Amino acid sequence: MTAILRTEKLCKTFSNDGMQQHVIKNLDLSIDSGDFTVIMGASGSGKSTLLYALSGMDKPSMGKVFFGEEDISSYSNDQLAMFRRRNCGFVFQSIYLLENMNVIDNILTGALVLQKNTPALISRVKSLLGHVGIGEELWKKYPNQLSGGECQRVGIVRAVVNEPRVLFADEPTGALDSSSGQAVLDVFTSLHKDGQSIVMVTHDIKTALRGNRVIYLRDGSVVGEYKMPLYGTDDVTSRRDSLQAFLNEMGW
Amino acid sequence: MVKMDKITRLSLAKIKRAKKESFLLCILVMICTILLSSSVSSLVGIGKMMPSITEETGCYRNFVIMGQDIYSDECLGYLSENSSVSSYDHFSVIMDPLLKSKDGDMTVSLCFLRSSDEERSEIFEPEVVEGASSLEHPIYLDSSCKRSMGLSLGDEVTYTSGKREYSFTVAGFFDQGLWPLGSKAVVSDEDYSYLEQHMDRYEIVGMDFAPGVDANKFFKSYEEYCKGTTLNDVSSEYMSYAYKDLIDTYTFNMSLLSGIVACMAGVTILAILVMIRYRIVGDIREQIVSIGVLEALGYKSAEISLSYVVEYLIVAGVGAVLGIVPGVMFSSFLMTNAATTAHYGGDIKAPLLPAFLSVLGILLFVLLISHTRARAVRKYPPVKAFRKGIETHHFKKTILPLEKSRSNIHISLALKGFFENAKQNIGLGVCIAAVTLTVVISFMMANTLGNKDNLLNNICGHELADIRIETTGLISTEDFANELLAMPEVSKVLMTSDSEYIKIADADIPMLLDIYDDFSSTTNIIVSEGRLPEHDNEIAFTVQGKFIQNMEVGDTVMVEYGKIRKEYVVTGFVNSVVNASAGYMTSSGFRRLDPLYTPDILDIYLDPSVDASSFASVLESRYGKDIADISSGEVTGDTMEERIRSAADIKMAEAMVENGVSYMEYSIEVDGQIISGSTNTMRIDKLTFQRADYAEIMDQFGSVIGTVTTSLTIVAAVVVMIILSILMENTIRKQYRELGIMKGLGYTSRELMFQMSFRIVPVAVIAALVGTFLSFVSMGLIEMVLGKLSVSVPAVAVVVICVLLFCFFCAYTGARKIKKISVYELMTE
Ligand SMILES: Nc1ncnc2c1ncn2[C@@H]1O[C@H](COP(=O)(O)OP(=O)(O)OP(=O)(O)O)[C@@H](O)[C@H]1O
Ligand SMILES: [Mg+2]
Repeated sequence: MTAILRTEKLCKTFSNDGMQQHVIKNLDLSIDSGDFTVIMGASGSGKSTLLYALSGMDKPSMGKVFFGEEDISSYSNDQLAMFRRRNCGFVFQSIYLLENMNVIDNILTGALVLQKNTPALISRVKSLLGHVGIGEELWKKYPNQLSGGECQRVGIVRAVVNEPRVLFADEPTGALDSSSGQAVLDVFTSLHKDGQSIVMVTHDIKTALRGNRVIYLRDGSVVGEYKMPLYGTDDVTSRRDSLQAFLNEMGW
Repeated sequence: MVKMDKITRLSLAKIKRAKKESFLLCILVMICTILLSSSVSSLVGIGKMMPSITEETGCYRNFVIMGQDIYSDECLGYLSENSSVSSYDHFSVIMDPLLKSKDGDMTVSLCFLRSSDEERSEIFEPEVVEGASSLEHPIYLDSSCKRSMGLSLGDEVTYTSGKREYSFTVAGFFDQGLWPLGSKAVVSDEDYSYLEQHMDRYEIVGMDFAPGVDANKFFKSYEEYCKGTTLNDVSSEYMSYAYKDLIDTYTFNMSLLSGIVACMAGVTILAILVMIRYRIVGDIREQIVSIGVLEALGYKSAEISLSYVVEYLIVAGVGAVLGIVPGVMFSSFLMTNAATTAHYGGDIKAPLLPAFLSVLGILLFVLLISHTRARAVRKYPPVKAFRKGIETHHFKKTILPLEKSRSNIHISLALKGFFENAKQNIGLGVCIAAVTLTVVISFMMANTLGNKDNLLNNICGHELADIRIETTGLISTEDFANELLAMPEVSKVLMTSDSEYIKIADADIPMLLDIYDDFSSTTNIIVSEGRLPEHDNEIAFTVQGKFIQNMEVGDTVMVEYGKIRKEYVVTGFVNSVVNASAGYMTSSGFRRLDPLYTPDILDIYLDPSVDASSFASVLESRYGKDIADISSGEVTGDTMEERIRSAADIKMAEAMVENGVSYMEYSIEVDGQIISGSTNTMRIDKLTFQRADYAEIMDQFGSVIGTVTTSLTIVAAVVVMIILSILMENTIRKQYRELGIMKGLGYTSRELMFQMSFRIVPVAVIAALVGTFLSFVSMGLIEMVLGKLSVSVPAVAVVVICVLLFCFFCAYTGARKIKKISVYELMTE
């Protein structure tokens, strides 16, 4: 497996009222293409911060981030934006849909920044929507007319419509009840099966089970790592127990 | 009281939160205050100024000016018997239209009076210099000369006319009242008699009417009476000036300027309206949660809306306070200028009350709009507020679905944004239209009126010869012309006249005729419609004349010249910014009115390589001996021949002055030598540089136009900048979340800035077109006054495009705050 993402001595520092807070400290990490990597850790351990640095949302304070062979840590904001549109998809806890656009337009706003408007694109969007269970009756609706789970699935379609090399997710089920959360996770699993690289931050063991690699973060450093077989290829209870054991060991 | 305190604190917090917008609004209110208070104050002030000047100086209000040939004592007798006239008097003045001040190139409009005449015309209590009574050549000038010429007591002033020079010492300044002939200068009786030999004398009758008398109607019957008392066949020199018309002439420019300033104030008021509306609507939407919190805390919605009103009153109040002093100063400047135009040099104070009232008006206006807009708070009870208003407009049909759009995504998104905020755009559109109107009109004026060469060559309305000679009429003008034409320096000579006035029957305006043998040989008289006269029954007028007299090409008009009336066909209308009441006729045409007409003026056009002033010296030395000077001079010369020539000249000059001899020559033989000469050396009466003189006038005119149009354009640009930057700031704040999401999707800041600023493009384009259309309409109105100004349409198009680009540029830079939005912060919020 080749590394699609690699960090070298990654540091991220925030200054609060003159106080320096080192959130990520000299972190060396490599994430393989095709993996479903889950980042876990206590609240405030720097998970989100790491995710944003990896995905080119934010610039590291020191160190490097390589995306494939590209060193994105020295990019300007606009270069990062261009980079993101080509390579990254995002799904977040809060539902970041554009309130003033309907479902289709929300997705197309993401798609058209990179692609031309072709019938092929439109039919792909529609089939993706069908794939995540958003029926045609919802396509012309606005975000505030949809449930949270539906919104999140629309968000996922928007994130993958440009076929990003990596799909990033920060607690995608955090705001959902368990059944709609499962529906969203099923989408992730099926994307992963189709070969999509995914990096996801979560608090939730049930969510973490979907991955095949778990990285545990404490005070901005990787303190442990755990590998699992592909989701669905083993018994869920035993998978859950061994992950629980790993997390306990990490002091979760 | 406690409650008010609470609300004020709330308002101040709001101002602090939106520092930049509050600052910009404050500036806008300041500009508006300056413009409005100065224009209102000066319009009121200028309106009251002339009556108060009349009162203060005790001058007459109405005037009739006649040549000596018309005036007789009977003219006064008529007045004494007429009950319409409450008081009257008669004074003589002498004038030289070519008079210049020695160090300036401009002709000065100065008329000279004896103190006995001046004292009867108004209160004459000059401030005098010490030892005024012992000065050799004292001159008392009207006190506006202090301002306009920078003169002070005891200064030497020298006036020139042709080669003659007159020097005086400023003995005093007096406040001049209403007067139709420029500045008054009071000189000693001796100097007066001397000047009289070289200048034209006019008789002026000043009069006040009983209440309710129609001055112009009276003047008409008075003219008939006065002309009836003389046997001379007089045609021209009767001019009447009614009080109201005089005031209008003197105050027209400054009133016009105040009016333009008032229009600009209107634009800024509009801008303020638009801005406050945007700000409040945007703010309420954005602050919906805090409003909910406040309401949950027990604030009444009325109190919250009051906090908006107070917020804008504070901001506007500061702007108004900052603006009022410059406003009053500007008003004083305008009024002082108007007074100087009217040759009044006394103290001028801008009225403060109108200035304060207009400021009050602005504040009331702000109160009103902020109050009506802030009432929207009521629509949001706490629960609704917490739910972010649960806006309904998203349930409407989708505008411009992206699925259907084939154009560039950024433009599609911009257009979507445009239609979603269509209502906001109306205000912006009106502002941009107003600004386009201002800028395009300014450009048109600068382009046509501010351009000296264009003015001179195309719309001056008169021939601009390099040298114009007024002949003494001693030799046939035609022979003189041929003689001049034979000189190698001269390329063209035209014969004309500039003292023949006609009237159109039943209209009261005397018109100066431009008479040429053949208009095809003229260069600067250019028609905007029709053609110039060719036959003897044809006449042309100015474009303004067309509107004033309501004529069309092909109309037949009855032309009055003295007691003679003849019909002429109107062939066309001439551009003429210099003299709106001019007529154009061929020599043969004019001979139908005056069979004895002979031209007395020669327009000399020189070879481009010849210097006009050195050639003029040649002409003057050859033909320019002054008859009046010679006749009153003494025999001079060192040699016998010189003395003989001098004596002969004196004899000839005396014969001409006293006996009306028109040509003489002499031949004297002394010791076999023949000394001969003729009156040919006295052919030139006056010599002027037509082209250079007009260029001077046009230069002044052009620079005034330039200043006015530049300042208008700057104000317009500032207003656009402020409005667009506030609009952008507001939209960005409103769409903070959306913009963050878009950034997350990989849109760059530049793309988003482009989208945001491109939203204004449709509205700006429509508004600019409307503004341009209105500019052409307004230009049409201006052309009625000034004559056809050929505006270059492509150039206007370029200007409009520049306005649009500027709007886009302002919007784009105003949207640069998008750069500061960090996706990251938004995601972690
Ligand atoms: N923009 C910022 N400025 C200052 N400090 C920040 C900023 N963003 C994050 N931090 C700090 O960095 C630390 C890590 O934050 P981060 O959001 O990465 O944690 P997390 O692991 O995602 O926590 P959670 O599980 O609660 O989401 C926190 O202590 C936080 O206060
Ligand atoms: Mg987090």
